[in-house]
Amino acid sequence: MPKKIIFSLYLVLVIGAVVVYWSKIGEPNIKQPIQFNHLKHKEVADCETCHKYIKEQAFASLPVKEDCAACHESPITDSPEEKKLLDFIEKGKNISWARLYELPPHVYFSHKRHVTIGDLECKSCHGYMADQQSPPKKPLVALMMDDCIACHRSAGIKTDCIACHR
Amino acid sequence: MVRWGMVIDLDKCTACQACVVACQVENNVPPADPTIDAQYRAIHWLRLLEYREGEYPHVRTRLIPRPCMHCDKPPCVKVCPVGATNIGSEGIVDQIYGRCIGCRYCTTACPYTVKYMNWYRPRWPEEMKKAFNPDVTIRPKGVVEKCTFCSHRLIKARERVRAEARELGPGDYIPACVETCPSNAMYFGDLENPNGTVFQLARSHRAFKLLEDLGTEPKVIYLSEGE
Amino acid sequence: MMGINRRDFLTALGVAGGGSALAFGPQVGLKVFQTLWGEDWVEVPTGLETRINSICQQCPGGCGITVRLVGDRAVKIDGNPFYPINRGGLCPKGQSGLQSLYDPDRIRGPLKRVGERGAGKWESISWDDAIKTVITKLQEIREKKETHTIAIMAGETRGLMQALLERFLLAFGSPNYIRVSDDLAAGPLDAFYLMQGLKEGLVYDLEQANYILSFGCDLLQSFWSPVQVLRAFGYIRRERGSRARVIQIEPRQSITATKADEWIPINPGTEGALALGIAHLMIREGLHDENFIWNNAFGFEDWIDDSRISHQGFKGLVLKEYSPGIVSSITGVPVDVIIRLAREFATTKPAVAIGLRGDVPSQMAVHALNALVGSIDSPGGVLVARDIPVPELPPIEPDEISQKGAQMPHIAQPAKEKYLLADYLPHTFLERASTGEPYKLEALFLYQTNPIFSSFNPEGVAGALDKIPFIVSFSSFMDESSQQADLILPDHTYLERWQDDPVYNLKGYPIIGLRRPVVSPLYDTRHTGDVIIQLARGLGGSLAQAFPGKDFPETLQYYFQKLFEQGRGDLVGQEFEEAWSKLLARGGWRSPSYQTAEEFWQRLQEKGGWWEPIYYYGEGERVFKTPSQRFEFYSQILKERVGVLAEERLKAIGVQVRGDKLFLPHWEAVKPPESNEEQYPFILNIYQPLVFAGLINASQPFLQGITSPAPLERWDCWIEINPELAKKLGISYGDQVWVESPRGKLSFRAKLVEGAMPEVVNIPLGVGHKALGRWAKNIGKNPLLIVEGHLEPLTGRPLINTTRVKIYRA
Repeated sequence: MPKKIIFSLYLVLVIGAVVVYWSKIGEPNIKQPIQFNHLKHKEVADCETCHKYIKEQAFASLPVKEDCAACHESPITDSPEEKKLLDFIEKGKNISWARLYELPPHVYFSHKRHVTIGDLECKSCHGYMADQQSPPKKPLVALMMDDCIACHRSAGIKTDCIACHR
Repeated sequence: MVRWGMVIDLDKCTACQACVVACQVENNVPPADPTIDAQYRAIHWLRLLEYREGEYPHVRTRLIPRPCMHCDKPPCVKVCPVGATNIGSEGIVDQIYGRCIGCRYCTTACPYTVKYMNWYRPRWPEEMKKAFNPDVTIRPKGVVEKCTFCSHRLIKARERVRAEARELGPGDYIPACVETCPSNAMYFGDLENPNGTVFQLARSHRAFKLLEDLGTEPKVIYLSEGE
Repeated sequence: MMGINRRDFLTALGVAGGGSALAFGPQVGLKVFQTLWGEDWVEVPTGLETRINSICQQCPGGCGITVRLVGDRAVKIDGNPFYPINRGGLCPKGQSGLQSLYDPDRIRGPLKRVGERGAGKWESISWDDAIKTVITKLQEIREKKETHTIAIMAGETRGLMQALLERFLLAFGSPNYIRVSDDLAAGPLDAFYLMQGLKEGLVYDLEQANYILSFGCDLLQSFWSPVQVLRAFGYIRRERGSRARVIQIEPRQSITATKADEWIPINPGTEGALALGIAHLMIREGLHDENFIWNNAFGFEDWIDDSRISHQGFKGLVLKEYSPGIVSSITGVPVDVIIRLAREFATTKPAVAIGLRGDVPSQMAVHALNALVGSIDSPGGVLVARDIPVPELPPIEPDEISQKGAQMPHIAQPAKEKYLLADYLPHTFLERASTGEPYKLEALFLYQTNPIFSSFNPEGVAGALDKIPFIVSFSSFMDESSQQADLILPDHTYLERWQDDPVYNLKGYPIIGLRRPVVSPLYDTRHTGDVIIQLARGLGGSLAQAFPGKDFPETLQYYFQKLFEQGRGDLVGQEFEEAWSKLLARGGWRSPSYQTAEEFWQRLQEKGGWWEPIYYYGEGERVFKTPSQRFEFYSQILKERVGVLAEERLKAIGVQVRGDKLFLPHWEAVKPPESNEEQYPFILNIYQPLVFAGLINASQPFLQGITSPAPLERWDCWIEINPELAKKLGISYGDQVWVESPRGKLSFRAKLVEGAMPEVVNIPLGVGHKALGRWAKNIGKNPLLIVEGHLEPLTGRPLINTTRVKIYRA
């Protein structure tokens, strides 16, 4: 049976390589165009100042340059990161924020439902995002379906498949 | 407990198929093409069935819109080896695409043939992707899909009424097919609510169900044509 | 391979995969999932969800729509629940509207032809250059003082856009506005004119009718405003107290016939005879409405005119010539059925008879039934829609050249003695264009029409277009006719533009909808109204002054300002508001939901339209514009038109009947002299399925995907043959068969249908394009290619279902 063993080893290697490749791009290293400081902004703004739709829509939204320009019309600090931002605004380019928390495509999640109606805090799912001084390279909390279910169960909320799956 | 059901009045139905198209637009079902149609692999969660009886000139043709029946005893759920299709607490039979392994046991088990296999990767021209409904996902190749009574609309309706601090009332949650029906031949609502239209129509002397003797207990009820 | 079996493979895969998933956690799992899922993701929305009200234009029906937007993407179209035409419902065409907006084969900017005409070689040019090209051409024509040699051919266009096009021609100096309309959907308009003296405004109050007798009118499929009929159908069946009966008389078991209470197969072209048979029985049994006839009709009894000549009346003619036995032998409908229909029709009031725009005597025969039961201008019968207010644009002062040009004869006007009831005819225009008589055309503009596909004579049209040196198309899509153009100035689609939409509903109320942009234009297209105004300004002089606004939206606002000043009606509302308005109007009051013009404009955009929900019965001078100011069984209008003609002219135009009978509803076989029944034993019956009625939607795949309940029968054109007949001819399901008429032959796939008469074969109209994008091009065949297109002797309009064919296996 040596052939079989060789093949199994070969397969493990190939799959391992693929997984390592995925993990490389998938896990550790999400880069943002601007080294945004959440902690600093927390002093002057709420979450929904920039993530505008947290309380009204399913998606929270990432800020577009117009949202930033509302405060950063002219330089407020001498941070090089702010310079980058002003550059975006001046050139009229969209800021290509990378999404940190992604949902699988067949799941429907509504921020409005959980924040406005369910009265959850942001950190229940996003961790201490608001205290970060630079953008994390990976999500602070890795949520799995079990976490959703556990929370729903403890709060006595429906756990029908179609309550979340779409 | 709510039990969602649909009543289709064939006496009012004009077989215009607005429901068929509305369903496709709402649920991101890709348009078919000649090859796919010729293989009988086009996906229509809701489609029109045609039965012809008799000989000229005494011909009787029946045209019946057929969504998923959302059976109370769904045969598809029984055969699914991975629990990808379930009946929820409010009676909607769902399909969880992430779990589906594409074995097609359910497409075979369903006597109404409402379950559709994605034989191909769904394709749209780039331009038409703009019309995607963000509330519904795109199903990948290799999974089975079906009518969900537009359950994403239920999620959103619940959210809306909760925000307005009231109970879900009639008309808050209506699938796309029922919403568009130009002759108002389709009704949707709670089969358990004695004051609702659907409850009353389901008990009409004209009411019948498709393949009733199979014991699947469909929640789509038809009203027959004629006086 | 290598002695590895399936089981080992799966085990190995499981171990490797499971291990790595454990090691790397959910993020990797998600990535794996995404990769397997494929690339098509629903974009994460970036903007708010909104809804905008507008008006559909997938057909001329005029439904109100509500478009759901996510950010700047339009994602769903639904009916506007407040809009009186459709009250929230929408047909499949309306539903698939986004496929017209997001059609990948749209024309994305102005194009100029390079190379041969029709070769399909184009060059993108800028709007400035394109408009300059047209202006230079028009200036040339003006300098030669030949302004009458330009023409505009327009499809189903109405309201301000039509007014601007006509105004442009008038100010430039040309009489040649040619409106191409869809005859199949229009209803018996010629009879309406001959018997009631009105050219438009024919509506049937279906919602209040108790008995609907349809003579071949495919109400549920190809009526001009489908959703109105569909809604009325649901309403009369179950929603109101009593259930109306619907009887469909037609050679084919159409969807209407299927859904009707009764389908009565009839020999094609004999519907008029059946109507007269029913009239005969009603009169003989004294079931007609004597009250109505006594007070409101002319020409029922025999009568004596001013010069003491006695004339035959309708009663005498019908009793003499159309006994049930004779009618039964003509129509193939059994005598007992005719008797039953007559009794039911006469006694189940209100009853209404609806016909098609076929041959004039038949139209009159069907329309006469409405008068016999007193269903003219009464609830549940034939109504005459109240005038839609036309806001005035400022007067124009054409200069001398223009005045002279505009007085030239219309290029499409047939010779006076040729077609007695025609003002102008699209096909006459084409003949003229090819012969160059009475003058040659220098330039043609095509707006929302595709004559090469929709006309009976595609080669003829193409040939005629060939003779015109300069053709401009405003089409958003590359259709057959645009392919022959020299310049394409693409318009926005209906979801990107401002427009008004005047229309009336089945209750006879005037309605003006407001179509507004739902998304900003996707491509470098331009509103044709803007282009016309820019052309006028570029040409200068009196032309520039003819247009009040600087662009179309501004003109539209001006237009609605004028409507506001007229002080009529209100914004569209729900049904209870309709009753309220009526109540107020009865007392001479009016309480609009707006005070100022600004408020009117603002709320108009929110609501979607304006209306005046009032109908007054018994306005004799409005309903009967005939010489006798009554309903004329004996058409004096027709008599006056025919009056001067000599015997040989009548013969030449193919009218066989003489004397009083000619002006009364009667039946004569529409039998073209050259027809050869032995050689061509079957009659070709062409019908329009709902999805393609209007002939503009074939490029939308959702619609192509529902042309038949059977998947195999989609994406092609099938011929319906009676199974008995097919057996005799050795044809089975799916065979390719040749359908041959004296004009040519085409092959179709055979479908054996019990709902087809043994001597009639049915083919749908709508597919068979040679252009129009990936989902329409080379899909199916266009049966118009083998239709002989016999012309109605009086109106000169082509008759669609008179062609005889033979069929055989290919």
